[in-house]
Amino acid sequence: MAGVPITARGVSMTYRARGGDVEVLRDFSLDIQTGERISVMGPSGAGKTTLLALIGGLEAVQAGTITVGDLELSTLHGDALANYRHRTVGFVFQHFGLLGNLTALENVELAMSFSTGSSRVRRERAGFLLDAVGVAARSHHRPAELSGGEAQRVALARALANEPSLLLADEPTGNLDGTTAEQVLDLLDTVARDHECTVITVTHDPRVANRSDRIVRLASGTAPK
Amino acid sequence: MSWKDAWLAATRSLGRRAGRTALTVLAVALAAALLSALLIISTSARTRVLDQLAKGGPLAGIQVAAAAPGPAALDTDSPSPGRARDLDATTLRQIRGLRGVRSVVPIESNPVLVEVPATTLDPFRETLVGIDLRRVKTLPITVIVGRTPAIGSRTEIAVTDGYLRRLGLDRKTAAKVIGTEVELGAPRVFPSRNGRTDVRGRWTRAEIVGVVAQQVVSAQFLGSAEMVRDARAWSAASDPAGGFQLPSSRYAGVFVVADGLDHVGAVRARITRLGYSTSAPENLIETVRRYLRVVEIVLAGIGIIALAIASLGITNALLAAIRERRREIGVLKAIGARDRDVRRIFLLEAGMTGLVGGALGTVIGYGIARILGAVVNQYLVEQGLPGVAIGLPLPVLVGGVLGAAALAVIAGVVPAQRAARLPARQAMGDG
Repeated sequence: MAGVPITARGVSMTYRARGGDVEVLRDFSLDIQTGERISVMGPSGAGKTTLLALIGGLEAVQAGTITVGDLELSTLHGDALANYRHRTVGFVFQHFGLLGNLTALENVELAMSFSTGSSRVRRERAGFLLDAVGVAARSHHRPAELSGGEAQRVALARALANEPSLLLADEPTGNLDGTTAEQVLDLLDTVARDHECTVITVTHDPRVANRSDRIVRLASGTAPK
Repeated sequence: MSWKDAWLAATRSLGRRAGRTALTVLAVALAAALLSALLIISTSARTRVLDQLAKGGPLAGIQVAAAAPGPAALDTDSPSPGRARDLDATTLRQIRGLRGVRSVVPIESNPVLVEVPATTLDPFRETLVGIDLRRVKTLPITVIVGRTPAIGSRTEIAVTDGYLRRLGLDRKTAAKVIGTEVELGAPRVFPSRNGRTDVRGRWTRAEIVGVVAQQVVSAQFLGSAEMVRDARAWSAASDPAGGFQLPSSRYAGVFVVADGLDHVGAVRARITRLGYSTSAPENLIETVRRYLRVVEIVLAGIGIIALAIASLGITNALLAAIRERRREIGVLKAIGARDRDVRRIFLLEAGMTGLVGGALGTVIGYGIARILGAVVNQYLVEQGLPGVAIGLPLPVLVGGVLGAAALAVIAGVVPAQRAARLPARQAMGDG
């Protein structure tokens, strides 16, 4: 596993709303080096999360091009796009995104269930990852039984399950207190370094942003400053 | 995502919403219960009605009389027989050899003088009919009370409604004759002395073990073939000059079973060509079967409508689940689920709901049918009629369970498709 370079050129994004179209990104361009860790900052509505969704293949590119490694995302659809998300991208959400009806171990296993592999191997790897992020003792607890910090660690383990080249974190400490946030950020730094993956973090928090190699600031509906 | 993983995901999802799942399963179960109960009752009623028409015998049964065919032999179910014609072993072999004949049971009879001990009833003449009691189930004989005589018994008989009427009884009080005895005298006429006919009887004391309805031969007493042969051997030695004429036919009749109801007409025609009168309720049975089919279709339709309504409940429950699980579905897609993986999970949820509801409902339906059957049986027994047997036919069992599951899967198609098409962006919320 190694990071991937990312190139965005002339990306624009407009949402249709009842009150009229909302232009979130306009003619946006960006280059990210292999293994680089960047933070995206900006006011609400500036398009930070949209940028993350576009690079992560959660949103179709309307205009412009985004290239991740040698993949041009606008050419990917359906299963190919799902495959890209599965094999290349690891997501860490502000709300953790853990499935409440599954245990921590099963949540990590689930991320591996969309590719071939025996359930035994998946279970072993999930256990290894939970151990690596320091929540092995909570493997059989459900998300509701975990603290915010523990839940985010489980989410991080899940994001790493398929050895992604690209780690996308959307406000990863937004729901955590200061001390826990620091611990999660330390862990994020460690796994990013160990796994050599490219990391994009969307945040409002300067302490989070200052940990990255570079900060990209978005103004409302504009190209980066 | 494998089917196994999808099944696990669907099971967990259903378990997480246990209350809603239970209510949805209950709705399907009630509908499946209604459908299966209606089908079980209609199937049992159908069997009972047709059994009644066939008088307890097989639907494809044909009675052959010891008589030549009448002019309208094949135009009616029960034509009037023509002149008497002997039925012997040769005829039996010929009938057995006809195409479409499954089995042939000969009927034997002999006149008897009857005395009923411990009553004021005067001795009376009647007919004793004898059959091979090992094959009683293939004959139009229905046991009302008690049982049929033991195979080969020379001391046990069954009686019919006619005997009950002689005693002032009816089917409701038929049990009173069980265990009582009658004396049956086979007559033989000896050469006359002093110008007077000398008739002596070979008397047999027999215990009444059952009351039956029988359409074999017009007779009030049913015994074993062996019992009748003994009586006939005694009577056959009568003095021909004595005025007592025993029927010359070896057999009083023959009961033929065709290979199926569809073959009854052809077999009757072949027997008629042999020169014997036949009767069979084929036209009546066919007409009733058509009416019963209509009733079954209507009842099944009611059940299916109930199941369809329950299926809409599944659709509604799944759509509500999708509204609640938009972010969860988005997360699934964010970590690599394809549209078909999400679709598979939701279809399995619907299918499992239908399968469990269908199985539960079929069992409940069977229970309801059994309860209703018990109530109906109580009424029938009070009326002196044989009861109905409530079973769980395999088509109802399979149809109830798999039909409910299939309908549930169909009901899940739209929600599953909607879930599959939810954008992966939902993982990050609506913002």
